[in-house]
Amino acid sequence: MKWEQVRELPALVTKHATFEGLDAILLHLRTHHTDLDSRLPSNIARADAIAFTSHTHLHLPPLLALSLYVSSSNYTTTTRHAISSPLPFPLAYTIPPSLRAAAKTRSQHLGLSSLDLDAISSADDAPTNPARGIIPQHLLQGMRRGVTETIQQERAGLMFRLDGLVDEACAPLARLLGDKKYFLSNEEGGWSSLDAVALGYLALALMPEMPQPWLKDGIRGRYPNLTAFVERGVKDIFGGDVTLAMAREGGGILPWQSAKPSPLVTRVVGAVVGQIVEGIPLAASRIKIKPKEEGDVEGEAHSLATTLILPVAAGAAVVAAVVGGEWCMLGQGRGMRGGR
Amino acid sequence: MPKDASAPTLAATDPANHARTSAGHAESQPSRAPRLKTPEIVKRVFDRFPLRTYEACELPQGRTSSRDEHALFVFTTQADAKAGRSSYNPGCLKWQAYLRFQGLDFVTVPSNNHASPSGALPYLLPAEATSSGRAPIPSTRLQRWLKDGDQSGAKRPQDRGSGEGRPSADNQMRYDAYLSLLDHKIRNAYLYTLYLCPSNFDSIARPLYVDPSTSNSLARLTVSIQLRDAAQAELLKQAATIDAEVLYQGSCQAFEALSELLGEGRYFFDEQKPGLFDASVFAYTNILLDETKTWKETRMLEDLRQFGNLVKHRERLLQQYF
Repeated sequence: MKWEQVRELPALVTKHATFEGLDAILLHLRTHHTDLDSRLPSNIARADAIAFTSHTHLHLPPLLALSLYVSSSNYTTTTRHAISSPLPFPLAYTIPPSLRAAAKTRSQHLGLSSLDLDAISSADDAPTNPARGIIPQHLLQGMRRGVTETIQQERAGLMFRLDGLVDEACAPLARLLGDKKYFLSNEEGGWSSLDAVALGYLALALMPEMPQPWLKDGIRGRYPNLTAFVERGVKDIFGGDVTLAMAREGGGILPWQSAKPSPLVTRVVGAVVGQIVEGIPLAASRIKIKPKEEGDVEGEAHSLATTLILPVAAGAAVVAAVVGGEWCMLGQGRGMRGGR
Repeated sequence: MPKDASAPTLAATDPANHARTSAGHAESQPSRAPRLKTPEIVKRVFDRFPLRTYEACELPQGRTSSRDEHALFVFTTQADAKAGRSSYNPGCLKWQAYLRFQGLDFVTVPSNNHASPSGALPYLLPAEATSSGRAPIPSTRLQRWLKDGDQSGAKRPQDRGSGEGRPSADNQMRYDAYLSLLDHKIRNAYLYTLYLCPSNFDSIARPLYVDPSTSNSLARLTVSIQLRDAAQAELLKQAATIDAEVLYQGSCQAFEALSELLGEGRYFFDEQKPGLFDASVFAYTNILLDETKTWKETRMLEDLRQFGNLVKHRERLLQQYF
């Protein structure tokens, strides 16, 4: 099993098997490795770990999809750059849009993808609106009032709905955390699988600097204990902020490995073929039925936290699958900071 | 007006001009738009539309035997509907069970998604006697409808609210989190086992969802493919690959957590009477444990059977309310 076969990040590659996706990795670690939750004091705490992990997994990804991908200005100024900068040509131009499309389908059920999420603060940045430079002044006079008014009306409703979604996702977590150090324990180093998953999603919501910070502001403003938990966790686990430069040059405490891309011709052909194969329904069968072969596991314990933390980092794996190069994306972080 | 000479040919080649010119606006602004005339033959064709307007169709109301009863439209068979048995669709059974728990008198009517105003089942058509008229109520508004107490004419639900009390904030927090087990893990595994396991699709899904909809074998094939594609698309939204093992293990964990939450209690959250959460759990456990259904791939059932209190919970509700 190699990285070329990986379709989804985070992925854990061992000598014997590949585990793709958060659920598969958690499951594998639980059955064949150290079960973080075995230290929990009671059965109900273990049940809570399962239930709240599922809650996090259900409610936070759509919010992150809205914040990182659907919102145009967040996507164009921050997310796109963060994804494309470690990618070679031409994948830097094909992967980010396909990730964005996937994020749109993931958040479709919220009914917000058709709304312009950037309308939220458009009143403040009206003078910097690039359209103003292009549209002749006399045309602008006629249309501005109507559009602005409409947007303002929509904005209140939009904020209301976004706040509702943030509350739905965060209120139970904040309540469970309370004043404790960790979600299910108050002892030093009492990490459970829930802490790892929640830290991964929440750090992605709270840490990157975004032009449209509704998600960050929402959590910071109303859930100070979650914010404190994330800040503490990022420091403990990653030794501080994770930046894009670290992914390129190494540094920090994450075991980054730099990319060794294959020749340009292979990449271009690979990208084109990959895109075509993705489009053929039968060619890209994505259903695994047989239980995967159970192998002994060594040498990936150190990557637990780093791989757990990256549920949205699906793109780089596709690269590996398509290119056939020597891409080793061990803990390929989505460090948004410093990516601008 | 030198432009007039070229106008008729312009109008003839550009059908988009038709509406504007026939309305006569061109006359009032001769300096801006050329005066265009519609060719007589084109005008005659458009004058004939609409050829005929049909009356709006009435809502199909003949299926409900009586109009003084609330009717819940669900996926079910004629025989099951008459006997008041449970629906075979978890989404429908959840609300059917909930309304039963609340003591509402209603009949179930076999239906399908195409019949629903919102495109999804279940929906409730209230009895004629109620003040809200006979506007259908989708499942998302059922709970509020019950709370508003607008069920005059039929037997009123007894003891409303006590089952919904959700007393402490701790319970509220767990309620949301454990509900996600049903909406996420168990639902995903159920979608997989019902639609994407070929043997189960043939033994369960096809006779229940495909065959009643049409007798044409070609149409049946199309419907089957659509159902499977929809299930697959739903699962692929959450992950790039569908891994059966992960899904089954996930649902097994979810059952374990639910079993732990139920503990020795009769109902979830130590309530005196079953509430919406019990209905949500029952919706899945009943279908999986139903003896009349022949599941060919039994992985999910076997996982569920390990947890005796969930099995007893299902039996208790089935005997008491169905």
